[in-house]
Amino acid sequence: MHIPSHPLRLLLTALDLAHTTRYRPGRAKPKWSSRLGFLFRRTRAPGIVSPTDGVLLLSCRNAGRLDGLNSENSMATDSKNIRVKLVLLGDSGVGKSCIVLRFVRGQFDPTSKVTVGASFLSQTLALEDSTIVKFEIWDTAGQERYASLAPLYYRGAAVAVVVYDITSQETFKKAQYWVKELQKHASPGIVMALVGNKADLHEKRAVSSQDAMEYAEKNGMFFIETSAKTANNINQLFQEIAKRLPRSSS
Amino acid sequence: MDSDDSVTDPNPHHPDPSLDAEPATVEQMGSLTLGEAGDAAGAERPVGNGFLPADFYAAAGEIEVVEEGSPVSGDLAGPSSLGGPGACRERSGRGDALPSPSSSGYAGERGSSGGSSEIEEADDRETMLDDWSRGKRHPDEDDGSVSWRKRKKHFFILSNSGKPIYSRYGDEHKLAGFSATLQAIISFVENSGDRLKFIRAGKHQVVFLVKVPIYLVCISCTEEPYEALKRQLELIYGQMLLILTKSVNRCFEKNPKYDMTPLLRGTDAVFSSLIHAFSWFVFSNPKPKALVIWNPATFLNAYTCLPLSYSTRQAASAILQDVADSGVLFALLMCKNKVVSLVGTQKASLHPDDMLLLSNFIMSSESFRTSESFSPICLPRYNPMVFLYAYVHFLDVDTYLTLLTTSSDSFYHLKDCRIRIETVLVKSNVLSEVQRSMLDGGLRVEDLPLESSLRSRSLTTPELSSSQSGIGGPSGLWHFMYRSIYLDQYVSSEFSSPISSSSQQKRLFRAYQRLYASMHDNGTGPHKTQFRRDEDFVLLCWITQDFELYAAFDPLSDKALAIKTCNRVCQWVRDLENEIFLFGASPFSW
Ligand SMILES: Nc1nc2c(ncn2[C@@H]2O[C@H](COP(=O)(O)OP(=O)(O)OP(=O)(O)O)[C@@H](O)[C@H]2O)c(=O)[nH]1
Ligand SMILES: [Mg+2]
Repeated sequence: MHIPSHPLRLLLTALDLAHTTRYRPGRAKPKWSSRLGFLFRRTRAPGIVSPTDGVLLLSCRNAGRLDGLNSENSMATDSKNIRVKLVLLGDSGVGKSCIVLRFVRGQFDPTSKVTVGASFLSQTLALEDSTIVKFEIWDTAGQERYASLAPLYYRGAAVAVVVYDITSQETFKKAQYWVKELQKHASPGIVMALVGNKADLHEKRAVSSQDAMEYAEKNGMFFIETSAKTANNINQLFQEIAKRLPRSSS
Repeated sequence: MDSDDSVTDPNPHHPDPSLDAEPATVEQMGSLTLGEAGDAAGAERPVGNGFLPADFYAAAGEIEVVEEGSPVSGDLAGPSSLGGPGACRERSGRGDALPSPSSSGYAGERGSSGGSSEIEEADDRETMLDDWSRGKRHPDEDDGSVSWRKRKKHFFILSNSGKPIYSRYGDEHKLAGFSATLQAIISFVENSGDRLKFIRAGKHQVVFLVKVPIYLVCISCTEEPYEALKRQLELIYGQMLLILTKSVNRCFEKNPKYDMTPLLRGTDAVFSSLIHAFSWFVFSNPKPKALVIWNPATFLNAYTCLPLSYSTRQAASAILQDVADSGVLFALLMCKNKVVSLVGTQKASLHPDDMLLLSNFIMSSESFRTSESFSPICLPRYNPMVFLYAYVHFLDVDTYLTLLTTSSDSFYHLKDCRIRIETVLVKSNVLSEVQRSMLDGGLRVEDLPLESSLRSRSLTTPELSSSQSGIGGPSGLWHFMYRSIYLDQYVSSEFSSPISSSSQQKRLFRAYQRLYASMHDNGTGPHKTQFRRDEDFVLLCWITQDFELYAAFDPLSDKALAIKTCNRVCQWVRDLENEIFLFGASPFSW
């Protein structure tokens, strides 16, 4: 892995990331499945099976739980029940946590709560074909000091959601950095989504939908613009991701 | 002023009536036996009066009686003995002229603090209500702003090349010039082989802490002792290490001009809540409470436990131990800044400073409350070079579980552990007991049991104060703190009504701080007992091998009664130790 800047590389030694940075330098750049190419469709809002955060429930069954943070079987599949490890990446302040909290709890809290390390939440989605998808979500911290930790959270993820803020070109650049990093180091079949958040602030738009769309298409990503504030396209984002998950042929 | 306590007492050796009336007190093992001998301390070594045990005289040189406001020579070796402007260095007498900081004139600023206290007071309140979780206060200020200059207490972190890293007020980047000035002062002295400890400039005290390649500076006109400010800088440094580890130093090896501010982005709330705990109140998230709490842990080097029945704490400890045995380094259950239970593997012990910094970090980082988290954290006293991984989960608004591990892969294991722990805690009612204890509060001086023995009754005739409800505890006892040296733990009483106002609490906090510093002063200490009287309080401190007791009384309290009350406080604490202390957490207690 190319670590962004050397101060962070130095931090890595402190992190003792020897095993979390098990990079595969020789590996060819994965070919992104063409069926995942740019697909930006509007769908009906999905029915959410469990609006409560399963994590907070004591009764939460951890049947067939993952073996570790970096477990490679990030998707437990039995055609009708899918468990998916999803990671959110992106610059600090783009609204990753707000997106997750809107999706998981249906809430939006405008007061800033900078994420520390990473937060773990889960949410279940029922698709129209009665498939049930349980998202296990890693909401990572966008602060620079945590950048070197990202592999810990994205390794083994089936889905990566890369978020930027449509009012900031800088965060769009940062998103591209994350896309490159994922292409180099994430699981080969990972489903990637590019999300332009804060779409409600269109009067301050700094990144055109067109540019983002083209970038996403080029990199085999699904693209959507969302607003955690108004809830616009939040469920659609996860619904679309669910649809794109590879299913076991049973 | 009580003439008994005055250093100018014409007859400092007359027998203390209380000891006279009851010589038995002197014999009592581990009892406080401070008498008149202490009164002469400031001036000369006391002469025996025939009432105190022999070993007491040996310790007499360690007793200090300080009347606030009286010009006692051999007073605290703290800043009060240093008058006007000048620099104090460890090995240098060259303490006069300083390079005058051109960019701000701050260090040379004198007597400008007329309106400053007003600003600070207003400022603190405002922060409490608005800015609390957002962190950075007044980012628009810089060293050119009048408001910035009038702040009562500044903290800075900078690199040894003069790059700003953190400033309590104002934007770091705008303070580059000021930061370079501080660096110039420090290296000016360092280059001559000396080390700069502090500078007095009028009302201001500038305290330096050098942790190459990091410099920490505090500029304060709060009149806190040097030792207290230095400790605060140490804690700020520790908080920075908790976030980044010491390996961040290597950034400067490659590039001495390295800009570290991006690595600390988003942590302003962490530092400002720590700084508030130094002053007089502690972070109470999510909503600042009207009730203001301070955190004596910032100077006592100890942690405190939430009062709980022995069996309740045992139940919590048992399940934490169970989990610790499965490869968790430390399992820590806390309610705000109080420990419910703490368990470590391999007898590894958690330093009280690490607990303070960790709980401050968790309580001031809002995101931990949103959902379970897994985050790298360094415990500077445990190992400043490596990150541990912390699984953090809030079980209710105030109660949180922290599981620390060395393995970056163990999130799901820790999550399982948490589910098991939470199930047990709910089933065995530990959580409800914790909530009840939070509501009930801690020890109250009003509840200090009266002694029932005949022996003491002879002395308690004037002791009517306990029946005069609403004015504190017996004999005018207003507040106390008891620190068990053995356990690294302290217990402090709730604030009684005479110190219910926040200004009174702030005064008490400052008074304790000075008392602590003077008792632990390397130059003249360590002391065993101290009795002080000023216009706000009578303060009594008593240090033995096993404990330290700090007590505050009504300023008009009778000295003998105060001493007697201290003995009762100690007995009371011992009687309650199973409920107010955690046993088994410290490696020394096996
Ligand atoms: N207008 C608008 N503001 C938003 C939206 N989503 C998030 N925000 C604001 O953006 C700020 C940052 O949002 P977070 O979700 O905390 O950002 P983050 O990406 O999680 O940041 P880190 O945790 O530091 O990585 C919050 O204060 C929100 O108020 C949105 O859709 N519209
Ligand atoms: Mg976040």
